[in-house]
Amino acid sequence: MTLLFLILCFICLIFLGFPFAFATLIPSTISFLAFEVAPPFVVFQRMFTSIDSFPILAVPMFILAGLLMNEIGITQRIVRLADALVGYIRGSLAHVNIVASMLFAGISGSAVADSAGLGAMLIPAMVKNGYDEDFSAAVTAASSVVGPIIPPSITVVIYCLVDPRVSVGALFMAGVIPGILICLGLMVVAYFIARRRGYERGRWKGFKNLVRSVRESFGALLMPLIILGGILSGLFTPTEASTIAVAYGILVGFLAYRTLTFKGLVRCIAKAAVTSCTILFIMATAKVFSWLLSVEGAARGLVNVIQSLNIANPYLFLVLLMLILLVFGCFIEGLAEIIILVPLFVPLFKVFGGAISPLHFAELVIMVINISLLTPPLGLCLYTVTNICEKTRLEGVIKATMPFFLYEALLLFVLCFTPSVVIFLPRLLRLIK
Amino acid sequence: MRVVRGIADWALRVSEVLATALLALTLLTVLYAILARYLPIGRAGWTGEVARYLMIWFVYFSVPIAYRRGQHVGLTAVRDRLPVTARNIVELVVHSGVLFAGVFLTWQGLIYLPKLMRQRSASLGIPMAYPYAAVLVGAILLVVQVVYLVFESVKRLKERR
Repeated sequence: MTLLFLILCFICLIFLGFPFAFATLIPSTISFLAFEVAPPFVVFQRMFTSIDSFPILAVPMFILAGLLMNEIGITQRIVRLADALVGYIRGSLAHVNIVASMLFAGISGSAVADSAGLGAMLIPAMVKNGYDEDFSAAVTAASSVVGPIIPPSITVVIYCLVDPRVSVGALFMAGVIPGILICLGLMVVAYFIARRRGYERGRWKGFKNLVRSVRESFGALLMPLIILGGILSGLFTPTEASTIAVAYGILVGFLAYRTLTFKGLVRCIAKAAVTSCTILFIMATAKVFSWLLSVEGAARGLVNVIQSLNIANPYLFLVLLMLILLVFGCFIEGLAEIIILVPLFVPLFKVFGGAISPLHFAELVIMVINISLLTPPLGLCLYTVTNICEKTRLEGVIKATMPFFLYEALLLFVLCFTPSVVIFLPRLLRLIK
Repeated sequence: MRVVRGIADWALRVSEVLATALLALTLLTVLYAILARYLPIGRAGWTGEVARYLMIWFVYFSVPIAYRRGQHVGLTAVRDRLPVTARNIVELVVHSGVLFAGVFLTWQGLIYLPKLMRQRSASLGIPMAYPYAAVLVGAILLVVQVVYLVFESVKRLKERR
């Protein structure tokens, strides 16, 4: 009864347009008051304890580091480097866009920030050079989803809090190969579209130009190495690594590039506070909701359903879970999805013994959550790029994103069957057995 | 109406300043903890707890700011397709729901916090009511912003008539 109420109320509130944090908080409050599951002050208490953890501190820090890098003008430098690397291929700015997203992913941990930062710069530039606006927006949105797949990543930090069997370092490294595969595939898709539509072809600007751009953006390229090197060597925890990334950004901005002002720094901190609160608040409220679901026996019910389906192949089972997540992802914000659904899914693996590696599943979830940023009605990256467009409406962007989205979804399902690709790097670095 | 707006704007400014300052302090605390491990500048046992509590405080100062600016993520695509009056009504419903949540948290906070005065934190030894008060203050500030937004919605609905 309580379970049914929780789920129905949640769905209704979402379609009314309630922010996700409140769409999970309000049904929980009502069930505490009406069904007397536990004393109502437990809601208040859990709003505190859910985010009272040191690892969560990495979320605001990674957000701040990304904002700082944008503020000090790293974005332009990275775009110049991407241009030197792939600008000579047909449809050059599309490839520059994709490669810049990949490089930027090593600095920022959020896809929406990537699409906003790179889109504001590249979409107008692409339109000026004769690309269709819908295509330019689609490339930006589709490539920005690698932001949280390639480390560092806020999604990964939060996933590891929900499923403690997976370590942040291992899940960071598990994302590297899928992230690169996404970008390479997107470049192939963009190439064929560019050839059909007859987009420009840049020219190779010489090796010297490449060396110069590497030197210019060296400060930015060093940052992911510091973060990953520090975490993987055990020198510091992910939270400390994120803090060092911020300190590094401030130092580079003040001393090396001299583009950071005190005012700019304060502006970044203020923005980081509000942006991270929207994430952490969802975390606090979704955890209350997820706790209620588990108390009411949602996981048990789900195990029974799965057992009655009699799926023998664990990989087919993963495909089924990914399809479910992809559908939910059209309506539910990604982190809320992780906090609410992953605890329900994890007990299901007992049905298959140890056939599914927690790390493999974790990486697939990270991928599906971020690909969901491209699926309407709740495709946050679609809205971000549409806001930058001058003429194109949302429908146009959705249509142009389709081929890219299909590739990403295809890759997701292929990776369901090939755990060795995902686990290769973490195993090589001895992060898992 | 003007008074409500004045209070809400003032609360917004204060929240912004405090949230920014608290995040900056959080950053400095974690940096100090890292430095203290490698340099002989003092003990850092207290830093973990302080950083966590500072973070929770800045998060709950920021929740009302984000709500006032409409930055909390929600599925608004369905609502946006409605005709103007219907959309305004739905918006009012959403604000009222959030108001309910804010009032509920304030009420429960006032009941629960006094019980936490005797419970002490593990490392600093301060009463746990101090860090927990962040949720209560956040809820009160949220109510202030939502009341203003409800007034705005009602005004817009009246103007349409």
